[in-house]
Amino acid sequence: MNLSAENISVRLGGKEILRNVSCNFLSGKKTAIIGPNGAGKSTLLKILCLLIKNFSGNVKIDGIDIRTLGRNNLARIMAILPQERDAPHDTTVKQLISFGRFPYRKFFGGNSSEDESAIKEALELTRLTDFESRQVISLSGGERQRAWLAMTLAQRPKLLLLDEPTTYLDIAHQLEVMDIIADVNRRFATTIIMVLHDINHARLYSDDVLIIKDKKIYAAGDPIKILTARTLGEVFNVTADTFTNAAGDEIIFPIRRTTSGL
Amino acid sequence: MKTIKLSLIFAATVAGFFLSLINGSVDISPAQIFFGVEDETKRQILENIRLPRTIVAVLVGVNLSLSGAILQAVMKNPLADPHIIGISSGAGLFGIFVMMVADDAGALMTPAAFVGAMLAASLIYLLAWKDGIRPIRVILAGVAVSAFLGAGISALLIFYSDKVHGALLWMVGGLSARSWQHVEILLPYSIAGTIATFLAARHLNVLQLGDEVATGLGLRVNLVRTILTAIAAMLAASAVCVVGLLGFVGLIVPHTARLILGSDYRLLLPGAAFLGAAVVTISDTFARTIFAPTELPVGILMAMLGAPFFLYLLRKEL
Repeated sequence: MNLSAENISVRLGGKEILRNVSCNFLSGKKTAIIGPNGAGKSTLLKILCLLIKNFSGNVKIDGIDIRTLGRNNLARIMAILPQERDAPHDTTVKQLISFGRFPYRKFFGGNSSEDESAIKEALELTRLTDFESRQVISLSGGERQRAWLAMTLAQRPKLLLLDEPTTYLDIAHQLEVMDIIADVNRRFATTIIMVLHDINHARLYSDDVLIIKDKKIYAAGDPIKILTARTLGEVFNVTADTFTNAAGDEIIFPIRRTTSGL
Repeated sequence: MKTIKLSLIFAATVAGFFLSLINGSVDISPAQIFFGVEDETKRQILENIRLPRTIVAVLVGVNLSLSGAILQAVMKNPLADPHIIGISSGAGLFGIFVMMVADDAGALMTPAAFVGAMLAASLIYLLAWKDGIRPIRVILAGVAVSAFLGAGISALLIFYSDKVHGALLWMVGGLSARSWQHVEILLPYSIAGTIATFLAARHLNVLQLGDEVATGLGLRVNLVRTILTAIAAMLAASAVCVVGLLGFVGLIVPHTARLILGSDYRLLLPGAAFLGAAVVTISDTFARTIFAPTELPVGILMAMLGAPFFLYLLRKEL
């Protein structure tokens, strides 16, 4: 499904965060949103899924204003993995993933066979099948992130929004999570929109990139073309070098800050 | 396994119910309860004193426990309890005001208490809300609201001291001389509140995942939170109208139920309801027999159990 934002402006706590932002996220593509801290990336993501509601402008899914969809209907087509979350101590991996079926609940009765197959599928996609009866709290950081990701996958979303899915993970687990996201996108043509910090993840794992700086869109398009050493200099004020790895991918490496002072 | 545990809790409820019927200033044997009492005085005691008092204890236990269980999820706070955070005081202030000023202790009292409880809850949210709810702010706001409303209650009791019968008893919460009339006041609220709470079990589960996750799963968080707070306020208000400011039931019971049964509200809610009934009936039986013939208000016993429990939770959870 195609997601578009038109003329989004938002103020939070009296402070302007985004000004007249318009962007389009293509159906079945992976788009990375990047930009400096405080540029408004997470705010934009929260507007796209209506976690923030008091903004001006429109967000549309295949041309339909998401504000007219209703929360529950929205949750059946769009899943979000926010950074702020919590689970009771005794929640098992399977219980957590089962919450992904909440939008499909019936008034009475337990899990339907479709619920069960969605949960099983989410366990397999995130390679957590062997962990299903473990408590979420006993998992390592990477496993825990996969468990939360699995919950969103159990929603069987057409659109998946992820807020910094690799934060706090070591490099191997970062790549693992990115691989799962890529796999989901490939298998189900899920539209992926993710806020990322790592420029190279954005280059390697996304089809499109959206750079936000100073409340506006700085650039949008093909990550390889847009994410250059020069862009990094202008957006993050860092000097960067470009290398080519053995596979022929270009890797950007930030060397030092351009601006002087502390 | 958990069904067995739930059954054991239910067995404790049944045991508490019969213990409460049997024990007191006049002994009534279990056989007499099942096969009838010959002695007319004993029959009167059983039917018009013990039985209504025990039923009130059950209903109050259920109401306060469910109210606490809801508030703990809705306010994301392990220490939320209608008494501690001032909802009971709000109910008490409005309830007493109606009782004394309007000279009407009957049907009007519970709705008025409900309004007071809702106002107290809104006030707590208003004071504690700052980019979301933080557990520590809820407690601090609750303490302030509770103190403020408590002062109002004290003032009312002093101004209308001629109309206060057993005001002191009411302040600590007690079941002394509760009769069928009180059962009638409580019962509709207990039934409606229990059904509404059980229907919301899955919503309560999702709410525990955090506001953003819950919203992403399709829950209308603010609407659900408002409705659930209203249910909790109604449950607490009806209990306050009948037994006064009985504290800590809503704190101890849901936590103990959580320790035994886990945090899935589909199991936790019935567990808390049964356990609440068991705790209040057994505590009341104990409170009225331990210093016989003097009756100790059950609220004193609950506070003696509850205050250390509160401190334990404070150290463990915050």
